[in-house]
Amino acid sequence: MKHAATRRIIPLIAAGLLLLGTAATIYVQSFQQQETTDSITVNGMDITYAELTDIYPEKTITGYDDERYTGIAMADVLTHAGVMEPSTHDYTFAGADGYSKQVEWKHVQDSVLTDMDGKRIIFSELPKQFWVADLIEIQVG
Amino acid sequence: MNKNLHLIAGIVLFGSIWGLLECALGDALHSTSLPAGSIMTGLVGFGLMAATRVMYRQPGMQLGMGALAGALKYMHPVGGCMLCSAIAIAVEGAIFEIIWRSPRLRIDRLDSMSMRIGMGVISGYTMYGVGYMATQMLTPVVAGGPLILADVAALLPRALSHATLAGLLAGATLPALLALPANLSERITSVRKEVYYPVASAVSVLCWIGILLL
Repeated sequence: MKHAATRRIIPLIAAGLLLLGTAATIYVQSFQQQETTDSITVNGMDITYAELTDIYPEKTITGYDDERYTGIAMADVLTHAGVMEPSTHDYTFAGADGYSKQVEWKHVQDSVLTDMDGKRIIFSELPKQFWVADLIEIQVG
Repeated sequence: MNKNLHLIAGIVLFGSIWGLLECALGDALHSTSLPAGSIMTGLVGFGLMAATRVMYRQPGMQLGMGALAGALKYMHPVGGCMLCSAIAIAVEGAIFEIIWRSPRLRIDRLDSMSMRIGMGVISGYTMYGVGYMATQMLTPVVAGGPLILADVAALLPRALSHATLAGLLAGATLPALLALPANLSERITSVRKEVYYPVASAVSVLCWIGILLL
């Protein structure tokens, strides 16, 4: 009797999980299509990577994975966006697919914004999980 | 043959093979546009754990395999986020153990196709989904970075979405595995100790060398 119930419930649970996954996929895809853009919104100001490279020198850092990465220092990006006293803020980096990470200034100060993977933030002190790709927004908290 | 030693050799052997596949195949898939994480979890990770559970019938073995494969992935000198992947692999081993902990729920006794597919989907989906969320929480803790729970919660739809493919692949892997001849697993595990230990040791060492060289 118990075995028969298990035989019925297992396929139902599996089907439920697949339905849940399908619904989540539709949600994630619709969010991504709405948010894809070429510029990054920093502190409410739209900035393009080309605009930054015209003004600021590129900087090379060693990432958490010991590889070398070249980009615009995040301190310069924040200065360009008019962020006052950057060391007093926290920063939330949001990607086009909804992936976001909140990071403290002590980690942001040694990071660079690169044009790889649709504009990606690279940290020297934080693992790749924090390297938000397809960056569309930096919120200053 | 000493049962414990036999089991430990099996954990080292299959954990090393899993670790090598994560480093070689996993990194190769990551460099393409294919969903590497889902493929590695649904096909490779789940496939190896299910196969060894059928062969050795020993709960706890897959936890050891996951821990070893995760450690090898972390030591791998090149590739993506080694720490995130290592945590995810180790967690997947633990989730597999939790799902299949009941002695009454034996993989080789799943007689109907709906049960085989269903348990494969449940296993693959849960392993990937929980592994994804666990690595989002544990990586900042281990790496000394900030753990923002709101960030982690926002990633739940991605985890549920990406887990779908892992579930589907595991749902195909389990019936395929159980379609193999029933006596194949016994033929592998009942190999004489004069052959079993040297072969297990040699293959494990080759896997470690491969991981360092790749």
